[in-house]
Amino acid sequence: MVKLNLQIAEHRFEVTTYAPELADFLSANYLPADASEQPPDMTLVIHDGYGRPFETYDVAASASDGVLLFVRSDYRIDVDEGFTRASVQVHDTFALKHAMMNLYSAFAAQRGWGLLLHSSCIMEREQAYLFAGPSGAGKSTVALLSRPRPVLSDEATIVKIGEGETVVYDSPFRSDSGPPSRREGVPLSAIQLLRQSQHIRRQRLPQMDGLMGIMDKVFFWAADVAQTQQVMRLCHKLATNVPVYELQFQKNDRFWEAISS
Amino acid sequence: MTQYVWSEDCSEAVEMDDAWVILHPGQFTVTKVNETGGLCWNLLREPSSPDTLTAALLSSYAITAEEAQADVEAFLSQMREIGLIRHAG
Repeated sequence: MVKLNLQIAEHRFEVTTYAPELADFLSANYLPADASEQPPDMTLVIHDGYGRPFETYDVAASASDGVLLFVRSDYRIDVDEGFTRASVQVHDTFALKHAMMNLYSAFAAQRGWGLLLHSSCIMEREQAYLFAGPSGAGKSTVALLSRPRPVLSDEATIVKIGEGETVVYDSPFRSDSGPPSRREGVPLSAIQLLRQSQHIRRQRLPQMDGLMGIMDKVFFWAADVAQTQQVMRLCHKLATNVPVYELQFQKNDRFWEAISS
Repeated sequence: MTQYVWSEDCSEAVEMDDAWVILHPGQFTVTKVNETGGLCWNLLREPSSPDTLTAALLSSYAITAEEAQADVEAFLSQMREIGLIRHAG
């Protein structure tokens, strides 16, 4: 049996698993939690041997008798509605990565704490800049082209949406830019919705268009309407707290000039 | 007289820039309405008749009764069409 204490943004997760391969995956991709006397935010038990290999991203979410259930062909999550204890069953490490994203996004939304956005996020002069767009729009290219600026996420950005402060945390939910290293949050300066173009141009969007752009990028699978309501409130708060821009973008690093100007 | 009210799971309109936006968690949609639409929407939390809404517009804006009535009818018809309101009762 392996016991791990993991840190995701401001939260601590105590994980128990009997599968060494899953424990290795978590140790390699997540920050260890700070030594603390505080109880963890959530206790997880993770099992392997579940289901079939990945088939589709669709997740069936449901709620009954105080338990929320998230099921895909390659994983199953049972979590209490207070999000304090969960059982996670997975087929392999790919399923584990997605199950953890699913669980964390539901946890963060349920607490009214924040959202997980399908995007990359880069740090420049102690400020975070988020880049979202449809598949192939250039989210990962932005991360590559922005080197040596620190990459806070290349796939799923963790955004804390507080009263008057919006902060991004280094994300463990990555495709290929290595594990997170920063423990502190970075203030989110702007959201860029990417559009490939022959030009480089950055234009501020009306809040309503920003809201729709954000809603389109949230990772979440609602088990009930109350959760969707919470997610929509958070999207609205984010769209009013942080400016949203359309960034017409060529695949070179000159877009930073448009952002900094 | 017929009364209308929010469909299930609708929530109050929130202000963004100069418009009002209705969030509908059941459908995961947002609907933009103008200022008078926002006023009508927030009244429709409780079952309301077209006459009640018309009277509310008349007391808030310098418009004629015909204009207010036409605005309310157009608003209710659009909201019914996209499923944001239902008959009360």
